[in-house]
Amino acid sequence: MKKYVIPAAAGLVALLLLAAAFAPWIAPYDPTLTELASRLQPPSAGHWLGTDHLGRDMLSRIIWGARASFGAVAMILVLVLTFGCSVGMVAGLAGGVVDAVLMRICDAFMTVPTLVLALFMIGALGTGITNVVVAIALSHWAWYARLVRGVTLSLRQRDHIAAARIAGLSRLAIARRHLLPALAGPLAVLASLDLGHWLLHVAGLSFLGLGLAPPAAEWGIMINDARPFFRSAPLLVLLPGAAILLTVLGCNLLGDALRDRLDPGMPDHLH
Amino acid sequence: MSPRSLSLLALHLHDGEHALVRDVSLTLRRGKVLGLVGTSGGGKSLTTLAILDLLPPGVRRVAGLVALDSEPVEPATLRGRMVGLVQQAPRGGFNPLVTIGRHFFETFACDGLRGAPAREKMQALLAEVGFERPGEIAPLYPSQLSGGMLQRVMLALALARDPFFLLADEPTTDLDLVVQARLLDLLETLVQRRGIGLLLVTHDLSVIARLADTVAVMDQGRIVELQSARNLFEDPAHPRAQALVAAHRALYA
Amino acid sequence: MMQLEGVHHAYRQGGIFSRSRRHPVLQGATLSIGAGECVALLGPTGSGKSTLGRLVLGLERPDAGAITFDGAPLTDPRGRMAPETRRAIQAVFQDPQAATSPRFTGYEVVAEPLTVQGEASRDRVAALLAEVDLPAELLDRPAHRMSGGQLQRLCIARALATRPRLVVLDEAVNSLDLETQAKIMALLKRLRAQHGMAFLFVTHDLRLLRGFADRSYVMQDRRPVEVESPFGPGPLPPVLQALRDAILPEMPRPRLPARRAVG
Repeated sequence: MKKYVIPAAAGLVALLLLAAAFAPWIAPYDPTLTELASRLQPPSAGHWLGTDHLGRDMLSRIIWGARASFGAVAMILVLVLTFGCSVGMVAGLAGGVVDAVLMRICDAFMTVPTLVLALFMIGALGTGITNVVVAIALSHWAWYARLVRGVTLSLRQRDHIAAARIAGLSRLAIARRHLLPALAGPLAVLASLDLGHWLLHVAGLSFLGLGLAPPAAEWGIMINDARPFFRSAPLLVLLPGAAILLTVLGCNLLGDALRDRLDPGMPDHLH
Repeated sequence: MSPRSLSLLALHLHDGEHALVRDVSLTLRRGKVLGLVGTSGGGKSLTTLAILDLLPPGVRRVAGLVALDSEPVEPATLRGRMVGLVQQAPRGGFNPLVTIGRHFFETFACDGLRGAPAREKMQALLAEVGFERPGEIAPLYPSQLSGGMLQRVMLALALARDPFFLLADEPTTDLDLVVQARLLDLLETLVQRRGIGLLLVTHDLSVIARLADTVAVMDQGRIVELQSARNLFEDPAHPRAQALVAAHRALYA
Repeated sequence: MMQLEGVHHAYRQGGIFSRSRRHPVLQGATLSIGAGECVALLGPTGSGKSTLGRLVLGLERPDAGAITFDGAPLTDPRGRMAPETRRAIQAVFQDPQAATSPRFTGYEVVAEPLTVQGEASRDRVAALLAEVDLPAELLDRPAHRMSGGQLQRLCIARALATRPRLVVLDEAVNSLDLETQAKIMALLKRLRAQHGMAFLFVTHDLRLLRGFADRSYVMQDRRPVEVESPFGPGPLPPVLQALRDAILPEMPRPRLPARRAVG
C-alpha cells in the first residue's frame, strides 16, 4: 500500500509545483480573460474543464490558482524558517536570560490562534494577501524556533561543536557548518506537515474575501465566486475544491513519509 | 526448578551474506564468572544479545541453540526471570520521563508483584546494590543520577526477578576507576551470595583479572581461546590472546 | 607558558524564574604548564578536571582568577582569543564519535582548523593523516563509517593541523579498547618527541601516566594539587590514594576455594 501512496503523493505535489512555477506558459488562456459569450460551458476541446460564470477558462484558473496558493505558502515558509531559525539558534546558543526571554515570547505566540490574528490584522491594516501571509507566519514561527532551539541545545553539548570553536570557526560558521545540516531534516518534516495546513488557511481566508481579491485566480476565491451556480454548474465548486483537497492530502502524505524517514526524535548518529 | 548451567551451542550470526559470529559455544555455571574478551567489533555484544534473542534488526541467527542444563530452550523466554542483562551506557537503558521507582514497579508487574511487597522488594534490591537510603532513590528521575548510580540501578533492575544468570556487557566501561572498582566488588558479592552465573563481557583484561574464573577470547566472530583466567594471563596460546595480554601487561610495566 | 592562578569556576543551575544555585566546580585552582612539558591531571568523574581543561582551551571563562598564556591573558575581556593563541592550543576529546560531525568526511574533519585562514588543501591534510598512520583513502570516507580508533587518530590529526604548542588530551584514550589505547599512547609519545609540544593529559586512569607524564596534579577539593611521584610511597592526597586503590590487579588472584554451594 505504502509503496504506491508515497510516490503518488510525491508525483502529485511535484505536478502542482510545476504547474505553479510554469503557469504563464502552460495555462491555455489568461485566467482573468472574461468572455461572456461562452460562460458556464461544460468541458470541451476548447476549454478542457469548461468555463465559469464570466466565461473564464477553468483549467487556466486552477493552474494559476496553484501559483497563487504555493506562492503564498512559499512566502510563509520563508518567513517562518528565517524567523524561527534565527530566534531558535540565538536562544540555543546564547542560553541564560536571552534564552528564557525568547522562549517566553515564543510561548506567547504559540497561544495565538491563526484565524484570530489574521482577522485582527485585516481589521487593523485592511484586506490583502500580505496581511494573511504575515498573520499565518506570525502564528507559526514559534514552533520552529522551539524545534531549532532544542536541536541546537542538544548539539551544543557535543564535542564537535567544541572542536569547531577550538578550530577557530566563528559563531556564524559553526551555525552554517554544524547546526544547519543537522536541522535540515527535522525542519523539512515539520514544514511539510504544515504546508497543507497553511494552504487551507490561505484558501479559507480568500474564500471569506480577506486574502487575495477577485478577479485574481485563487482556489478559495473561485469557490466563493461559484457559490450561486452550485446547482447549475457544480464543477465550478468541485474543481477548485478537489484541487485544495488533493494538494493538502499530497503535502500531508509526503510529510508523514518524511517523518518516518527522518524522525526528529531519533538520535543524531542514526540519521 | 533451579538450573545449574546455561549454554550457548554453535551460534552462527549473519548480517545478510556476511558472517558476524561463527560457531561460538559458551557455558555459564552458577556461582562462576565467565569472561568474554576481545577488541570492539569482534562480536562479543552480539553473542551476548543472541542468548536472549535480542539481536538488532538485520542480524540473523543462522544456527545455534541455547540450553539450560543441556535442555534446549527458547531464548526469548529466558529474559528477566532466568537471565538478567546489564549493558554499557546506562543512560540509554532508562526512560527519562519515568522515575526510578516506576522502572521497578513495571518490572515487578511481570510477576504480578504489586503494592507494599513490591516497594519492600525494591528497597531491598537498591540496598543490595549499595544504596544506603534506597527510599530516596525511587522518586528520582534517571537524569538526576550519575552514571555510576544508574549502572547500579540497572543491576538492581536486572536482579528484580531473581535470575539465576546475569549477562553484563561492558558494565564498567563508562565509569571511572573508583566507581568501577566498587561495581566489580558488588558483582563479586552477588555471584557469591546469590550463586549467580555471570557472563562478563569486556575489552579490559584488568576487569577479567579481578573477577573471572574462565575466559573466552573472541576475535573476528570466533572464539580463539578458552581457558582458566590464570592460564590465560600466564601463558596465552593464540596470537590474539598474546597481543591482548601484552597490551594489558604494558599498562603495569 | 600556560598559567592558572587562583581560578574559581561555578556552573549555574535553574532558570530566571526558579532560584538559580551556583554549583562550584573549581575553587582557587592554580596550575602551570611549561613549554614542551607533559602535565597529567588526575581525578575521578565530576572532580572538575574536564572543566579545568575547557578553561585552558578558552571554551569557558573563569569567574575569578587569572589564566595567562605566554604571560598575556588567554582571552580578551569579551572572552575572545587572539587567532595565533587559538591555533597554539588544541584538544583531543574522550569520545571521537561525539567530537566529529557524522556528516563530515575525513578530509572535512581534519581540514576544519585550516579553513579559517584558507590554508586547507588535500596534500596538507593527506600529510597530516600520514603523521597519525592513517591511509589517504580515509580522506573521502564519512566519519560515521570509521572505527573508534581511526576516528581518534583523525581527531589527533585535526589537533596537529595548526602546529599547536599545547594539546589538551581530555580522557583521549579512555573510551578505546586496550590495544587501540596502547597504540594511541605510543603515537602521542612519538608526536611529542617529534614536535616538542606540551600536553595537558586529563585522565582518571593512573596507569597511563607511567613513562608519559613529566609532572602530575590530582584534583583534591576542587583544586589541582601537585604530587611529586604518584606511584611513590610518600603521603598522598586522599583522592590519589583512592585512585591508586582502585587500580585493578594485573594478574588474577588465586580464588577462594570455598564458595556457597549452588542449589
